[in-house]
Amino acid sequence: MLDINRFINSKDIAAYLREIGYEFNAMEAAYLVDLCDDATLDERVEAWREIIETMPDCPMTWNHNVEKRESTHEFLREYIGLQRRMLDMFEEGDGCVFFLSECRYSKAPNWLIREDGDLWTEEWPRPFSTLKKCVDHLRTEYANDEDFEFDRYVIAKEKIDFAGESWERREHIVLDGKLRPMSVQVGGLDERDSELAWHLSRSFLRMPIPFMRGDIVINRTDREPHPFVFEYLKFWDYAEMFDHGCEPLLLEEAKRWNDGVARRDERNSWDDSEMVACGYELGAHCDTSTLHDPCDLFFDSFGACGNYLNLERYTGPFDGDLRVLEIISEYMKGKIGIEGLVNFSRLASLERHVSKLERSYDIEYTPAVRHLYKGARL
Amino acid sequence: MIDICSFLNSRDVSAHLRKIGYEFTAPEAAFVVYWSDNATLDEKIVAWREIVETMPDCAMEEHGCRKSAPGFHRFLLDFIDLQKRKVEQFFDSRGCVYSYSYFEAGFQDDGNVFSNVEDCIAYIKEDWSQDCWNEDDVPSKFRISKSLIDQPESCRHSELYLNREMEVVSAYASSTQGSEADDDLDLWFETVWFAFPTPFKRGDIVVDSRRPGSPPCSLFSAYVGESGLH
Repeated sequence: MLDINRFINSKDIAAYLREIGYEFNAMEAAYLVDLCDDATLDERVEAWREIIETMPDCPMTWNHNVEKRESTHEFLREYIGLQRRMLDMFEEGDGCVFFLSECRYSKAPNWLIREDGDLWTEEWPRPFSTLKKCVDHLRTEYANDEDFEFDRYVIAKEKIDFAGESWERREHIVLDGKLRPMSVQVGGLDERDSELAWHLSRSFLRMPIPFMRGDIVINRTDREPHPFVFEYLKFWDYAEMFDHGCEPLLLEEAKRWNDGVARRDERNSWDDSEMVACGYELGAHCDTSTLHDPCDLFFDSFGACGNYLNLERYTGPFDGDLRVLEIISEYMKGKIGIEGLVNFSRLASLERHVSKLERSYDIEYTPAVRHLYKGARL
Repeated sequence: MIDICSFLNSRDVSAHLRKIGYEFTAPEAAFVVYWSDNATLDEKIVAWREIVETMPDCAMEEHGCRKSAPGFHRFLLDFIDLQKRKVEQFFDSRGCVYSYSYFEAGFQDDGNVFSNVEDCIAYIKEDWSQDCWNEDDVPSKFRISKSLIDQPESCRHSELYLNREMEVVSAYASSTQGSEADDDLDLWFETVWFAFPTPFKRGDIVVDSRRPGSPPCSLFSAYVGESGLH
């Protein structure tokens, strides 16, 4: 029997769904397998086959971005076929070059890890005439390195002297640390294949999650994972928001909110862009922030995380600017008031500033004057 | 007579050296020409030739891994020859592909791949004339990179720097694909330094003219950087 939980990126959501005895339908199972961040393409294909064989068929969810499909089984058969075809298409090398465009460290010396925690590194393009030569090069040069380990390689394929649009030109394949294909993307698909290729990732799914307003969460599948304080999901109606700790609304406001959600339900106008999770993130100048917004704290209405099904609880560390998230969390959960929010945030910010200055001074000045600033706490 | 001050990137240093009637030696003049941001490679070659023809020769002192040499003129003529060879080799498209980057707060890769330099330049011209209504919106610098196909063990890569008019400004090769002497020759201007007089006083607020947008700073003490004269 297929264990769908294995394919859920978030261990917290997987545990919660198991706990409440959630029963996945074939569409939901297929979606989660597709979304899985650490499954190889072979594992996914095997799982999709098992879904066809063991789970009852059901219609696919649909919206304005994807076609209406009555059978998930039929979709998956076509989708599996397309994955194979895309692998073959990617390998065809006439008039193209292949090169390693970037890879992700799973083991690297500390000095190599950037402050924002980004583990990806871009590679100087060394072109190869075939995919095989490129992969052979990775096998000899990268896969056996003792000091570094990589768990993702992205190989790009570029068409030489290609005059078309950039999205048609560039193709890529993602390999895991053992150089097994994880996903493949090719250009120049016809309209039908293109719809098939994007159908699952453009679908909209509504599933229960364990997170409450004020929880500190993180999407570890992000390129630069960053914790934020969870507020709500865009598609929740008022009752769901209330159940997840959101503040009570006036009756009239709650009715207006529910009417909006119901209208979108009727029109099937939810799409993948509304699977974002909203919350409060640290601004650009804070440590660990990946934002370009100059605020200390930032609420992005487009979401702090692209897909709520990837969220996990963040349990620390809360050093540096991250301490502010803890204070905001306590405030949103009603454990401290506005006074505590303002005062503790200010203190955390000042302490952080002092600590940064001390680190700079340690570099700038000799130990002989260290007593003049060390321990000069506010 | 060649006006060396016109090759200086800093108009303040240029005006100061003119005012005090500074007399450049041949190596100093060649150095200023090398680091000029506005001159094309052809203009630099013309200037270097004129330096050889009109300025007195001198011996070259030992510098880094470079041994002393009896004549700077000979060195400069060899250097000119090397620059021409680098450009020629760059255009040789056998077994390689080309890609380009445009300058916009650092060099940004475009992502297209070309089989020869000419097609790459034609693409840059067409692409940017379509994208930019105003000529000033076209990036001031472009870089074309050349990569050898199926030769990962080779650490060689070469680059050609172009201005907005698609004129060659400089050519770079990680190895000159020739002799060690060529590498030595190629690196001379990158490693040598000269102490030119400048008009700046301690406390002046100055800015690096080669890095537009870089913050101004207050001059604390004189420092001659890689190309010193900004």
